[in-house]
Amino acid sequence: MNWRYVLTREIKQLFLQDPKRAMYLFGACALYILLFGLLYGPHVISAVPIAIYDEDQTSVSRSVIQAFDDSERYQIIAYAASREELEGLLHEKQVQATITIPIDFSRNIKTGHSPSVLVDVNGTNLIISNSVLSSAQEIIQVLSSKAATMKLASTGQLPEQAFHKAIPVTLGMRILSNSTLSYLDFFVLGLAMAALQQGIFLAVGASMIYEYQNLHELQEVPTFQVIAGKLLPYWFFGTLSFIMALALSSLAFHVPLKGDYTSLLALGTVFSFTATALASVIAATCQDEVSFTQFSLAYTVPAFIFSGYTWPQHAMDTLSMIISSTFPLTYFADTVRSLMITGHAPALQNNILILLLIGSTLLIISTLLYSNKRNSLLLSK
Amino acid sequence: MGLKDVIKYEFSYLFHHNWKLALILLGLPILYSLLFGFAYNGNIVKNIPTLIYDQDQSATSSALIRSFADSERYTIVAQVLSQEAMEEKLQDGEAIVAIIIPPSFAHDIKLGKSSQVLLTINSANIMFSNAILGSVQEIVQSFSVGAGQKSVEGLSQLPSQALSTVAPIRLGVRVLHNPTFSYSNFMLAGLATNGLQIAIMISICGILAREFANFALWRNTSSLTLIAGKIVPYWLCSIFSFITSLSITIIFFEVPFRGDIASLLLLGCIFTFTIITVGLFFSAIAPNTISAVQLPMLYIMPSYLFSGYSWPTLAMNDFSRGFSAILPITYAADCIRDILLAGYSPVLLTNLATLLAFAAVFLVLALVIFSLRRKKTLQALDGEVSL
Repeated sequence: MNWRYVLTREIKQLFLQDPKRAMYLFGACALYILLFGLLYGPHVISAVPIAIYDEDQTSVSRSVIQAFDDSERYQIIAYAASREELEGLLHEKQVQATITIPIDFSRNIKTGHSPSVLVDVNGTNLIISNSVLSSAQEIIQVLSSKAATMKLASTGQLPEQAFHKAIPVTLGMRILSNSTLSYLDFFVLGLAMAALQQGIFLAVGASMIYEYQNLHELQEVPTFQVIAGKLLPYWFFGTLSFIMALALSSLAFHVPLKGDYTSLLALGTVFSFTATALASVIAATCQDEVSFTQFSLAYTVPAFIFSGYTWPQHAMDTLSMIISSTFPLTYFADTVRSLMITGHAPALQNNILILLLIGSTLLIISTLLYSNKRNSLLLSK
Repeated sequence: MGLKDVIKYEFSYLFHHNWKLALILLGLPILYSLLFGFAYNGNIVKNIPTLIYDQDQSATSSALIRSFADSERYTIVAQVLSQEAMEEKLQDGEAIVAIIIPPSFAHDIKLGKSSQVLLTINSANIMFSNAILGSVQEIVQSFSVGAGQKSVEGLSQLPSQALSTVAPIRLGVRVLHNPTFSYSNFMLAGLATNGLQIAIMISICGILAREFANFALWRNTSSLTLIAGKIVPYWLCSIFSFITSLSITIIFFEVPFRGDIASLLLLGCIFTFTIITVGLFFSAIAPNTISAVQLPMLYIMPSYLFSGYSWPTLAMNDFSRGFSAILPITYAADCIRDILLAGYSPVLLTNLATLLAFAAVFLVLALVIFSLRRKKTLQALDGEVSL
């Protein structure tokens, strides 16, 4: 018996004897892409329910309301007749924001008193308040510019001249890589990669724990050959699952695939290796599959949050940075997104090296642990 | 054996025979609250690495650069001299955003022509783009208004008059409940709730599955007593965990607590009870302990993101809304954040009622399935004995 025997035996176990391992390996990631592809399908927040309180009731105030109504970001669902009614709507969460146009709004513009359009927004959900804030600024600026231009034009300036005088500096923006700020492109890949890790964990865990509970079955095969024969299929199929995940996200949900295939494949291969090695080490320290699963479930959420995929490492303090640097996902998820949607990842080589280093160290530890456990069993016999 | 004995047995199982379960149930939520509290300790994304490509090199362009440097959102990491150098640095990840000031910027303003400041943002991570979009308009607009004011003063208007001429409409924004856009205020309550449900699920789901091998012990105890007795210790521990994990986020990580303790506690008690019944249900249908731990993954993993806590229900399509509606955490996480940040939740009562309804359904299902399986196992046992 040698590693080839172990390999064939493992593939049989993976697909035939214990097919739930194959299901984890391929299913977790695919399921995540489907679920979260559907969840983030709308891409951006639109039609935020708002209420209007127009105290001015003039054509100018109506043009302000029209501007909010025209923006697809908002959906006006109520016109309040009083301040109390407006606050009640916000309080009851029937609307997420309210727009108040104060009394004498139009007259104050004419007399040069610069009135304010008041926007009250419920700040509990940042995704909503961020999107309301940036679009409200844009809308009001456009309105203000128009009013200023008209005002200056009325002093005898040519309209174009008046515009330049009123708005001497404009802001142009070029948003690279995810120009529509789509949440789907931003989020789904990372979630799928966290699920890939979980899938590899559960499959390798089931396999290694089976081996630890039946150490006598392979007692004639040299230690390293057991580990190699057992882990190779998971490494290989883990990489395959990674490729399938990228294909699915790109074909079914149109996540951009800008990076070159070699870099993506190299990164996926190395991560699959590291995750496989990590799972085999954890399995060696767990009593049974139940405790392994418990650990792996508890591990997933912190690994994702600390990976810097959403909340950037840049904004973490030193302690969090240190914690973050211990999770293999940190060197993987953000880089995959960067490769996919921007086409390049500056940290690619570094991250591949770090993952290789972590993976190799873990593989050595795993081999030693296995050899240790097997020897003590044989000795006791 | 009566209810008291079952409770005693389960307590001793939890804290003595299998103390790891108690550690998960009591320790994991604390660990999660601490970890995530540290992760989001920065609260807002600031000091964004910024490039300056100043093609004008005038006093006016320097003034604009200063307004960016003065904002805590931006840290200027380099000045570049060409478009290529700028794109290279953005690509290398040395900076996230580049501010480009065109040649003759100051000159055009003086001549009364509009001049454009161009921002190039790498938005692979939306957190950065959101932080930039929220602040850049204000900076550039104030600068523009200042410049416009001077230009209009040249038309022999008084300064205050000139200001109102160039900025006739202003925007007043009042962000309620989380005015600083703090990320820990936004995220921690939900992550703590999710951590709690993970801890409950992975510690409880073996609870009935393991009894199938153990029925001889409970021959004279009704299924209802057995389940009730098993729930009590887990429920008490879960409530304790709910209190500790939220206390950590409030005390150590300064998440505001504006609501009343009674509402929060009530919601916590009912939410933990509901999750326990969901765990019982999974435990009752699972063929063995391993499946009992792995089955709930189907619920645990997607539930937080589908709960409407971060991606709001208003932006979901019908499928997601339907899926969201059948997850108990949907009725707890957002509501807990409202109680903490806003001081009240308009949907508290309906959510409590929904959670109770969920609990009732899962409890009855778990009870019926458990009783049937128990009966079958006992019959098989009796069969073996009579043989």
